[in-house]
Amino acid sequence: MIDLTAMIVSSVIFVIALFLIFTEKMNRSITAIAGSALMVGIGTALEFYSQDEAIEAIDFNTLGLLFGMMILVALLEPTGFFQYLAIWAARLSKGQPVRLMVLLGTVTTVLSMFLDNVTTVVLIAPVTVLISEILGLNPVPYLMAEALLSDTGGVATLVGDPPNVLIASAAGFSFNDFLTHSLPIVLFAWLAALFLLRYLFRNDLHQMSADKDAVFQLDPDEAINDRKTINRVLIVLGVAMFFFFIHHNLHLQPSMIAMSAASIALVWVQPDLHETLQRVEWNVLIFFAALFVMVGGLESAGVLHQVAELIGNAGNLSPIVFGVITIWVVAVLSAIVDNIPITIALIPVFADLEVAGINVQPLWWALAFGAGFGGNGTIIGSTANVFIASLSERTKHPITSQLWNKRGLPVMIVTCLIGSLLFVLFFPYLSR
Amino acid sequence: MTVKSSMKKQVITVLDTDDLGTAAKQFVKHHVGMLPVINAEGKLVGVLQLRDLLTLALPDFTRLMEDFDFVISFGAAKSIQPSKEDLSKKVSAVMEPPVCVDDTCGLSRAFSLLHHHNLTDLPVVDKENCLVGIASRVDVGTAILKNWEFISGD
Repeated sequence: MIDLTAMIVSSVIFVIALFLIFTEKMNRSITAIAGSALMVGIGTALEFYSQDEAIEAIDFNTLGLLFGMMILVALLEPTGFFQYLAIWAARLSKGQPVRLMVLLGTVTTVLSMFLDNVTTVVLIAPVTVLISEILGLNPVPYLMAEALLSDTGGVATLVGDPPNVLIASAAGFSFNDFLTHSLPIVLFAWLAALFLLRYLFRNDLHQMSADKDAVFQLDPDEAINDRKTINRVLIVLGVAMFFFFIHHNLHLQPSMIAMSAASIALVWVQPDLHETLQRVEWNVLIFFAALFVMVGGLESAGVLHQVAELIGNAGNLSPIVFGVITIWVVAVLSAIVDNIPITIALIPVFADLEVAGINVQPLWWALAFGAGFGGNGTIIGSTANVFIASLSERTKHPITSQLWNKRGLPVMIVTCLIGSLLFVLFFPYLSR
Repeated sequence: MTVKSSMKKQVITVLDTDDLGTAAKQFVKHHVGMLPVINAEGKLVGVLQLRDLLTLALPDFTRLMEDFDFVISFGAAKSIQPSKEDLSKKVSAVMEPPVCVDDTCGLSRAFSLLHHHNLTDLPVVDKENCLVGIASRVDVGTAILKNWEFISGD
């Protein structure tokens, strides 16, 4: 039975919310909270969505994993660990611009494969400004490389990127599935992005440092405030990673591992809890929870089922072509709006297609690539981009939206191209 | 005791329409840490702190990092010159809203404001908000000490 009113009302609420997020007329979390309340209220009144269904729509597996990892990062944040790594990279570069970009980009990427990439960028960016200033270099290429490379690299692992957490939870992908399916493809895309950035910023990177030796005056050990906490959190993180590798065999949910790791770290470090909880990104968690509730309304009203039917009836589109289209459509939507609501809304659609007998395995990967690489395209495409841009506004070299389009958009296009190419080549493998 | 009795009546000021280059010269010439900003009618509209002017020439990272004690050498950022653009900005674009008191204000209140807002100087205005003087932390603080019985009794 199709309830047309319910479908129209729920779609209107969702589209208005997306519009507000896209135009930044209202804070995205506030928009999501208001939208979800409206969805439940009207849904209950029109009897297409109930309060119980709203609670059920929340994927606590995703929230638990994000929350656990946020606690671990929150413990690591004030210790100076991130400063230590950035300074170590700067010394290794000997103050040479290209090497500095490669090393800082690599450090940020590796960190953001295991930790939240926004936090990573938030912590590395100020040190990057420090390093480029004492070297007498323009910080823009390094800051943008960090955001773009960590956005790209984060797609490689289950915990590297919030859309991956969502997809893994919905598709039942394990940590190792990402390492065997996503990592190799992302590696190529990441290298291409690095070479492209090297080319796009060639003029800035030709500029030589005014005081090369300045980096050697920075002592990484001096940048560390709390070595004991670093050691403890890194040990816990290491053990958590080990359990991530085998979580499928132990029938453990990733969220269970992250929450256990967080609780062990809290007991071991015994931080000032108030301070630690202040560092947790509650607005992100609330954004997720509210979006789950809002999208749950769309699903209950039958909108997402209709979309799935529409796609299913799209005729004799070959699965490969459909996958490639998914990568690009999701990438463009992610660049314009935000990859999280897009991913949350598409998950039930794909789940519906699976019920209809379509092999959606490759589509999940297409979704991950599109959502991840698409964020590179615009200054608002990912939270890391937004942060880097607003940080740069407080420096002598603000990054404008136009500059981002000139540097970030080519990175998005090239990474999506490589993603599509490898998707086609390895289609049979990705379908398993 | 009011702040009027301890303030200095000769005050160096800048106009809100002056540029920062002019203001910088005033700071150097008179060796002061703060300049009250007045408009053409002589009304107090803001204050320009030495530190606000200096941020133009300090490295960006000093504003972005929580802690940079470990940075022993500032390298190429040792001596940053402000840009011509920055120096041609109007004082009104950089000034802070004034924390000021009426000339009838008591000394304890004046000192508490200086202390709470972490200021070194407090502009003093009359009923029409025209600048009539300036009282420094030292002016106000020692005026209070003078009233302590064990000192005034000596």
